[in-house]
Amino acid sequence: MNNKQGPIVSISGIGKSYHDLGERRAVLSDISLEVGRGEFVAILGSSGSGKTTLLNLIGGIDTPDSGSIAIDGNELTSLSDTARTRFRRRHVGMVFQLFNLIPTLTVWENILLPAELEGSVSDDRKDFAESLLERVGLGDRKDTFPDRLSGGEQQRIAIARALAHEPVVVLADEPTGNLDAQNSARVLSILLTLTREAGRTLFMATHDHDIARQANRVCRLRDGALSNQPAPADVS
Amino acid sequence: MTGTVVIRLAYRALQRRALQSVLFVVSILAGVALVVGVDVAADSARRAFSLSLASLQGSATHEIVGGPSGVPSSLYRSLRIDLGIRTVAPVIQGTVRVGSDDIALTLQGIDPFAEAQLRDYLAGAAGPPAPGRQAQSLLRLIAEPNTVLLARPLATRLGLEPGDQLVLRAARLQRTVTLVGTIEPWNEVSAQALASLIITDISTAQEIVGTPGVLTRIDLVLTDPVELAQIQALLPPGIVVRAVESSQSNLEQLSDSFTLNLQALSLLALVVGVFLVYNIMSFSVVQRRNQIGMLRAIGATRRQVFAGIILEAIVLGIAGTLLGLAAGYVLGGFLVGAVTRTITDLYYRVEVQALTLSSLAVAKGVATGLVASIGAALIPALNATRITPASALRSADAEQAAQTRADLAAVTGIVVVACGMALTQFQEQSLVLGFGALFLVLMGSVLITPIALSFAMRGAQPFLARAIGTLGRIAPRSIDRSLSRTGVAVAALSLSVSVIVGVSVMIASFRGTVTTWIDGALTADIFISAPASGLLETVNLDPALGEQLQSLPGVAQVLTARDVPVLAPEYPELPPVNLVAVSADLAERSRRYVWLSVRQEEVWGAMQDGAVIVTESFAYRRQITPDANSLSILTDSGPQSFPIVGVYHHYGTDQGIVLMSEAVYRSHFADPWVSSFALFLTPEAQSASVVESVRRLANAQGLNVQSTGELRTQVFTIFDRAFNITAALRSLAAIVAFIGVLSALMAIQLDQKRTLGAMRALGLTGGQLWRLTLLETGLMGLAAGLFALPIGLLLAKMLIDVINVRAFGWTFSFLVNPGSLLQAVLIAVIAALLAGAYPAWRVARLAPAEAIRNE
Repeated sequence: MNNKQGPIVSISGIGKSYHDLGERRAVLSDISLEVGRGEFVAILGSSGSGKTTLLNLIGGIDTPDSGSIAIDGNELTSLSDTARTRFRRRHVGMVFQLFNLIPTLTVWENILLPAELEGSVSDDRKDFAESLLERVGLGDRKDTFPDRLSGGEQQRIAIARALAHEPVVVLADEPTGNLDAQNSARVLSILLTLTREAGRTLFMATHDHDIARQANRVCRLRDGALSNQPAPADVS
Repeated sequence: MTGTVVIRLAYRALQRRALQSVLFVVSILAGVALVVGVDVAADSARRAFSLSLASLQGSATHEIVGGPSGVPSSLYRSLRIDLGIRTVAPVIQGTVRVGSDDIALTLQGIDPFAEAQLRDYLAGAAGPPAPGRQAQSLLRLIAEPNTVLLARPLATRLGLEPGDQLVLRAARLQRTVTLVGTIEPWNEVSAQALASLIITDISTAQEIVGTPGVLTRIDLVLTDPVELAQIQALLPPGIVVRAVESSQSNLEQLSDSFTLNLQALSLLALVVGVFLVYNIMSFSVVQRRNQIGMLRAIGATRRQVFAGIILEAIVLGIAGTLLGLAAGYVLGGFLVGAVTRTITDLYYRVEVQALTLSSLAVAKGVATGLVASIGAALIPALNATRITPASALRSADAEQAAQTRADLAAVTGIVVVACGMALTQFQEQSLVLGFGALFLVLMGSVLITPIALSFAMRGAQPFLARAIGTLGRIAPRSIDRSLSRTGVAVAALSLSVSVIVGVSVMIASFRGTVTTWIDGALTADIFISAPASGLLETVNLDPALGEQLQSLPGVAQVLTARDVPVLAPEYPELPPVNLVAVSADLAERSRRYVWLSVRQEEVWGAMQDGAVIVTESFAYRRQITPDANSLSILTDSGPQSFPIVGVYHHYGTDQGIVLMSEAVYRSHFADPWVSSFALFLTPEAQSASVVESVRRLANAQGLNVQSTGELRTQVFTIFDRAFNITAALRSLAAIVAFIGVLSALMAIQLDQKRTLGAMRALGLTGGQLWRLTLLETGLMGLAAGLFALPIGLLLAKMLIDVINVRAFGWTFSFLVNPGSLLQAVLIAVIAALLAGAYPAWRVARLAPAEAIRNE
């Protein structure tokens, strides 16, 4: 990673559409955005507005029909599927609404999964993962399987997993969407604290205006376009 | 109203899960097709034989038969003239060969005038369309010597027209005869009866068969018990009158064990099919957990949920069954050739003119198809009723329940295996109970499979994690945690491979034992016999040939054997006894005995003093033991009791053999003929040149000359042919299991779609996911292969110790070739990997964005 001063994420004129019952439906059109290191960007929008699609494009899970996306100077759209996957496991952390922990792996194995897929895991990385586990308050559940955890606990593990390989960008798709108020607050607090402390850039899709208020920037998606980028105080 | 909703929901479920519906139908189709196919083949062969027997026996109620010496022609005259019986017809039967293909046909010598009283198959010879000409052909048959009649289809097959000549080759001579007319079969019965029959008059037949003045039997229609008593009083010793019904059923039962074995094997394929259906329906329920939970929340009763699932199973089951019936009929057409060939090799000559789809076979197919469909869907349907709105979203609950069920299944499995083993101890002669025990042991073993899989995967996980890394950790865990589906798939594959192992080990053991046996039995250098005829048919060779053979240079010793069917009055329900009378004991030193009441070196001496020895099959069927050790045989002087001094291993015929010394035989039967010769060469003789000179001498008489090696080859050709169908059915069972693994893998993949998508999102490449899927399937295949070994070996042990003993009455050694076991494990792994290739390909192409969508 080489870009210390410039934008860590550069999105330029991307568009994405899907075929739906034989018709082409544009989900995103001509989206451009530049985000700096350590920024927390909230992506606001109603259901079906394209929030998840945008996150998927930034994470290299999906590819845009047009435009380009660069993360830390790496042009994602020019990479093959395998290269994008490798890039993702090195530089992108993901938190999903439905947690998506791998049920066949223990808590500890889930956290180390992206690093392990890269090859051997260094002791430093293990120590770091262990510290994350302590920070999310589940240091004593290392050997537990996900189905033995509550929703809030699973999401905390997912956060630890998203950060354990020290990614450049963390993408969170409605991370509190499936949790009660108390767990939502706790999960959000952990996610924001850990990403800020580590200086990670965080994109969070949400339709919760209270969450958006805590972001450095808010991007509102409407009819497939980023209609405005108001300051947090103006979010309503 | 609620019924309509249930039907609508079931209909939509079928529509939406087209692939699963197709796999369900294919599973039932394959199972039913095998069951029906084997039935069609076996029924067709049996019906063909039965029709031939029935029509050749016509309206006869009784028959007069004798021993090897036959029935004197004078008795027929006495019946007609002295007793004034009109409904009586003499019959001569023998085997002749015709044409360059050496086609074996039955030569039937008849009295056309007497025939009409009992049988109507000749009606076609006298009836339309050209009555004058055909009636004339019957007259020519009576008036002219060396004339024959053939059914028109047979004449066409042989390329003959009335007026043509054909050469009939019998055991000791060949005779040129003239075809004086053809018979038009006028219904299925007459077509079957005439399919392989050459009809001639009594005296021509006697000359060709070589039994002048002797009849094979006399058929009668008797309704008056007084008449029966009069006949009995007239009969000389050694000749009996008996009801034809019993003799027919005795002959028909010859091949019963063979066909029952085939039917049992086809049922195994159906059992594998049931597993598949269970698998498919279980997954269908898992997939619809949310929907079922929602239905329950808005007021659907458990009964309605249950009815919906069962209704789906019934609809698909009906489709699979109907298609299976059609496919089974077609399959039967393919199998019938192999079945009839083996029956002809081993039991009786039979030629199938038309396939038989009996109503019983159809009913059996329909019942097995529907019972299998509903039975397999029963547990998934019951599981569906246990889904509550609260538990619907948690797949962990379903897997937890699967784990609990696996524990329960294992305990049940152990009990079922124990019951199966215990069942072998009851009714020690019942073959059906034997198969019942076998099925219980197999089913019990299969029930233990899921828990064994769970343990195996847990045990393998640390090693695989160390060896392969993360994928090695995920794969076994994934299998363990999807036990509700992997358990069934591995059980189905394991069952299938265990059948392959069991049947292969059984066949190899049998072949190994037969090899040892035949090496011991074939101690002579050259064997001379008539071309193979049907079992229980007598071939008369002139003993003078023995003297000619003895005079050939290089021949040290000539032994003779007389092979004849004789009646054993104590066992009227069993077919006649194969009596073999030998001039010396060929296998005196090498023969292996089950038991002996004299020392081995004293056996031949005891036989010369009047004792006999019998084969294991013979003793088993008649419960002959060291304590119940005598046999009554109907000789020319009436029933005579012979002490049995030993029971020996023999694998030539499952009907059994009684071995007697020739001198004793000749003292009881006025039978001058022999059936075969065995030649021992001098040590310095050149085998090939002696064989050549013997062949010149014997071929002139239409006899077969075989060296030990040739005879050995022939035995194994027949042996291998007999097991061809078994091997084919075994492969079909493997294909059914392959479909099962494929459907299970597809099911697992669909179920884990979101997890797999998350893995892709977290950094697992398409290639890694492909490898992970193949690793999972390979592990499942390996587990199935390894589990199949003990189950297969147990199956082989039961096939050898229980089924073969009960079906054929013989025991043989349990021989295991480690190579074949390794091969079985490889088959399981390869089948699983092949089945996993498509799901793996799909997984590798999985679009993660699509897979991890929240909804």
